[in-house]
Amino acid sequence: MSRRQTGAGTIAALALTCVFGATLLLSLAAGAGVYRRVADRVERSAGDRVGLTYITAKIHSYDEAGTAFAGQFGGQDAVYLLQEVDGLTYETILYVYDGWLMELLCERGWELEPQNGQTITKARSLTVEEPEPGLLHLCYTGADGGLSTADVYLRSGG
Amino acid sequence: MEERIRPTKSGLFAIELLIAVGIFSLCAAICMGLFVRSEVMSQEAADLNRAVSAARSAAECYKAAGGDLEKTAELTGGGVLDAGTLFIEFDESWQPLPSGEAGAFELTIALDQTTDGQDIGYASALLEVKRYTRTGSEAVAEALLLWDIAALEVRP
Repeated sequence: MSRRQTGAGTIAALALTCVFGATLLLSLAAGAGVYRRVADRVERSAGDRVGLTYITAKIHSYDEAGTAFAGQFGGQDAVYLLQEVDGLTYETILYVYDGWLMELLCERGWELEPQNGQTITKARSLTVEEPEPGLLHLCYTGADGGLSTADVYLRSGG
Repeated sequence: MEERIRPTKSGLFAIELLIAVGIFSLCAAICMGLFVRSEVMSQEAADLNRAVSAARSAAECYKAAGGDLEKTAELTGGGVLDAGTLFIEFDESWQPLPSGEAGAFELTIALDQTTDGQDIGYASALLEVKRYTRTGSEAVAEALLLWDIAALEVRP
């Protein structure tokens, strides 16, 4: 066996090792890229929907005549939900303040500040309109800037 | 008599490595296919989520309008282009498009022809969301969801 043949064999083996390594790295990079995109998409989708779903579920759970309506709180659009317990009326206010979707539960008539609420999830903005009696139109911007809209029809008629 | 060629150590190593690379490449190709499939499934899931949200909102507007398609179109921003059918078009990122413009997704509410005109006490309709894949002038539609909806309190 000549020295030239042995050298060629070694080079071929090295080249194959390189191909093996490159294929391995490419596969890992592709897998990591796909995982990152899927995770981003799931996170973005959840971030957009969680806040809005929370608000719509709350509205539906308070759906009695005159208990759910749009209003203003701290200069921002808000959803007001009323509840009567032992002769006292309590209000739940849902609004966006300082980058968070907030919820404030207090007795009706109390004058509280937006910062007194409890944080629910990160959000940028919430606008609430009532284009039709009993129909609430919500525009919600999630923490990443994704805009989602939802219409909620109050079965009670509002 | 022919001289027998004796394999060298590096030659055997190269063959062994070649087989390993071949098997690994096969596995990598299968994995790539799975990666692509997972990407497609993830996109489909995201589209279905948005389709459900859009359909729910449209159905709520239909109920609020008491089954009146023209009124539903006003509330949703869609258009009644065909008799008894409401169209709402959305772009790739699910933002509503002006009425009459062709989008990547289309939501339709078609009045139930079997009950239309009959006094059954409620208005029923078929709500469908389709995804359009456009190649040149051709568009292929794929149904994302199909719901039966009803407005129980029909406007006089």
